[in-house]
Amino acid sequence: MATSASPSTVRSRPVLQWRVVDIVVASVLGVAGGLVMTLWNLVYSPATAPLELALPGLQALLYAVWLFPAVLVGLVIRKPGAALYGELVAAAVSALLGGVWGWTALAWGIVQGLGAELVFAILLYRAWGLVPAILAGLGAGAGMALMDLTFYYAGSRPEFMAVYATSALISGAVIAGLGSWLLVRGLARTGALSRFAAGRELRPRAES
Amino acid sequence: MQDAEPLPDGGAASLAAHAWSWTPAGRAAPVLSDLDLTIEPGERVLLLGASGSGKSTLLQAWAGVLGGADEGEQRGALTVDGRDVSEVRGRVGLMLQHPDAQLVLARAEHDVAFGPENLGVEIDEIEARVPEVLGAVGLADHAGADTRRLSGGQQQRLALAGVLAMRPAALLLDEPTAQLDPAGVREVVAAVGDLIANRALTLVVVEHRVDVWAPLVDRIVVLDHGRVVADGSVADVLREKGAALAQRGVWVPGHGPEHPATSRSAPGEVVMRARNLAVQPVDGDVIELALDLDVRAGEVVALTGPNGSGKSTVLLTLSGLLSPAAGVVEVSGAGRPESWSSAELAGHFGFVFQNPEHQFVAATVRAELEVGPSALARAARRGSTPLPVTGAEPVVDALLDRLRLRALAAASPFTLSGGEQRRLSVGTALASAPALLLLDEPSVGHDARTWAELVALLAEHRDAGGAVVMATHDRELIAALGAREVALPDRAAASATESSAARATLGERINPVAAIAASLIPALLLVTTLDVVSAAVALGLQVLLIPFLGIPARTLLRRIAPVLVAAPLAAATIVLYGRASGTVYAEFLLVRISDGSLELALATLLRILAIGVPAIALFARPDATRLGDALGQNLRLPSRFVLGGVAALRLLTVLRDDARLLERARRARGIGDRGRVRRGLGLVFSLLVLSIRRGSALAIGMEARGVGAPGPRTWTRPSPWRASDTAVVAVAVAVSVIAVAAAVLTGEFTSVIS
Repeated sequence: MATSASPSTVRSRPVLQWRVVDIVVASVLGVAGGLVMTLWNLVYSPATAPLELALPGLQALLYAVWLFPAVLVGLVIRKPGAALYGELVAAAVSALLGGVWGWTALAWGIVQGLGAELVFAILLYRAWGLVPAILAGLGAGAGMALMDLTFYYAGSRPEFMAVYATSALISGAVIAGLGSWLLVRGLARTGALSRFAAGRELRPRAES
Repeated sequence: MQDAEPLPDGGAASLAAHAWSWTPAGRAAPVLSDLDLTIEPGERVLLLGASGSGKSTLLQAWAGVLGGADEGEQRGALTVDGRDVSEVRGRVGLMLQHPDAQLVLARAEHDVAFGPENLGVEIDEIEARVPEVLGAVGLADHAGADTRRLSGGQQQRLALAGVLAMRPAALLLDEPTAQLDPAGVREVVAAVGDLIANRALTLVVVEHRVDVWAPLVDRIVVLDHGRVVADGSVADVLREKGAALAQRGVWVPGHGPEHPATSRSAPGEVVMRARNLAVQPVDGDVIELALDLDVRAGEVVALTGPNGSGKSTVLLTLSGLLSPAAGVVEVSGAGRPESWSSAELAGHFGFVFQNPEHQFVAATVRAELEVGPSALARAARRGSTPLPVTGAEPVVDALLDRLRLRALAAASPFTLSGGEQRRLSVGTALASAPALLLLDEPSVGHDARTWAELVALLAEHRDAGGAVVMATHDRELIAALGAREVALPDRAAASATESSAARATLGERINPVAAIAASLIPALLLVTTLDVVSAAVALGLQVLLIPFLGIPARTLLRRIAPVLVAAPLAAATIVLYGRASGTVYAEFLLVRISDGSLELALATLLRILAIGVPAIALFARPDATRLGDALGQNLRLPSRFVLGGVAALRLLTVLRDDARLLERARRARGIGDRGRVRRGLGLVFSLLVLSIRRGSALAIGMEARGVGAPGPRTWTRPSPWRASDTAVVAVAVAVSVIAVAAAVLTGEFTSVIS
């Protein structure tokens, strides 16, 4: 990797302290994520029925809609705990709005959020590219598979569990991981992320 | 702790900048450079300048909310009373343009207490200040009001009270009246006038409208590209710089914006007619207007009337985005718009929403203008519309020039300046060459230059034989376009003051932490069980207990309806794919319906109900303020995060309205017929953009109100944990224990653990 003398390219150590804007935007994104979850709660069953008919367990291919707040908030805020916080707020909002899972959504939120958070922590909160995003999505997907198979599909057959877990991981990587990464790029282009490092790396308009 | 530094109630603050520069992170050029400016204690200053000249940045800097070293680089000195701004938190009060960015709590008096609470002011002192400042802004009768139900002028006065409660020595107002109707502007200006007459306050106002604030100020400072270009008495600056300021968009008395003449020819034939129309907003009651309206080609109709009279709802109903509650809307030769497809709507109407960002759906300015024409072209290819279709290319190219947006054709619409965004939003409506243009409050938030541009665009459409219907408060706009005014009657607005409930029910008194515990603990136990008996016993006991919470049956039913739909669907999955045992009734591919899967399904159905229903019953009316108080006091979670969460929850209703507007805007723009997935994804993206923008603005408002200040926070509202809270949790635990015990005793108990 070529080194440059220009001071602007020197990677400064990440500031890990949360600013007020980090907290508020993470909260608002969490709330928006909870709103999306609530809408998804209403349609997920018919939306995934064809997959389920094709191969039981395959419905989890779309379930990472419940996971994207973890990766998205992690990628935008870039602070320790952001992924967990985003997923937890989203889960709490979906419970407050009256989801099928009541407050047990919190338990799912914690485990799924931790799945993504662990990945960002292992990367020392320094890597925020496509690969870390996909890995974080995988982490969240693993958390979801663990919770769902332990509690909701405990009575299922092993082949169903294998299909379900694989689908959940793929879904986490693609929808929550790749999807959130694409979302952050799109959001950065709109200039909405100008107060965040995630938005400054991808300037909306070239400025001299 | 506030005694450590006795704040002189009598002393106004001085503000100064010495060779001060600020360069936001990621930008090469400073927003403000080498600024030298001193404002003496008690001075009243109007700060003018074109958008982008650094006015807001300067106010935020003096208020100490610009952010630290990772947000930008500063040089020189910026001081309040000769000290660095970071040392004098609370000395400077900042008020912003949007109520959404600064009202945090649901109840007016709670919101006023928010700032001093964050500064750690003692409870007695806060309780004394709240009624005093509410009285000072004329809201003494609205202490218990729901902040969302106040009018715009009332909301801004409340925000002013919230700033005053922090006992600032300088008041910085960032376009406090830009979003208000004329009555609201008068209210806020009068309130500020009273305050500075009675208190020792330094005042700095940023506004585009000189005439509104000139009577209150004694000095005008003009910024341009981050430097002071004029500074002096009101009369001197206006005499010397008036014309130049007007050119940059400032409304200067005697230099009103130039605009085309009013129409020359008589209106043509009727393009739309409404008869005996009554309308109904989505969440509101029917507004009985019995409105008869003919809109003719080449004329401009202005719907006027006070807030809440239904102007916007009438506009949405005329455009087919809402169905009439009674009466008829008819477009000449084309029928009733409420039954049309999205492409048909876009072909007949151009709708301009108040906030341009609700309307943008594309990645670039050019693509944004192409949306309407290509939706029409697609519809024409399918033969589903009789509308004439012209090629998109020439139309869009002509529009880019007309809107002066050609240089920005490849930019994201969201990155445009406010004025550019407004031009583009009118452009998107004009792109499909509609006969009728409908606009909701089109002139709110404009400076003089962008206002004149709007008038020109609308006049051009009118003179080309198009019709315009707009909801507006703007007398000058009505006059400039020679609009025919249709005044909607004032409705006696529902009182914003909260009716104090006779006696709170158990469901309303319960501590939110107890409510979470009471629904979470049994639920966690229940999800580990698989049998019918434990789920059935738990659900049965809950059904017996829920009435004690005292929730109206209708509220409860409405809120649990989604669960009642979802539970059988989830159970159906288990019927088909659950682990088979006993008799197998049907088998194809991987589906095996058996005794075992049927029993598992029944257990699943009951279990989901037993988990979902109490969670909803215990939070029948979620209250963000009480939840925050409980999380901060009973659970002692870090207050910054609790307050962030509470504020975000308050935005939930705003975001819901946003989602609704986004959906409508897509329908109006001709892309509402797209597939569900594509529509859903587009909606989510726009919602996230809006939520980040709202969150970033709210963060400034919250920081200005002391969130993140060092030292312990005061919680004025106690969040008591009563014996009844312990009892509720104990009963909930008992329910789950009894349920499991019943299953064990009957020998039916099955757990996921085994």
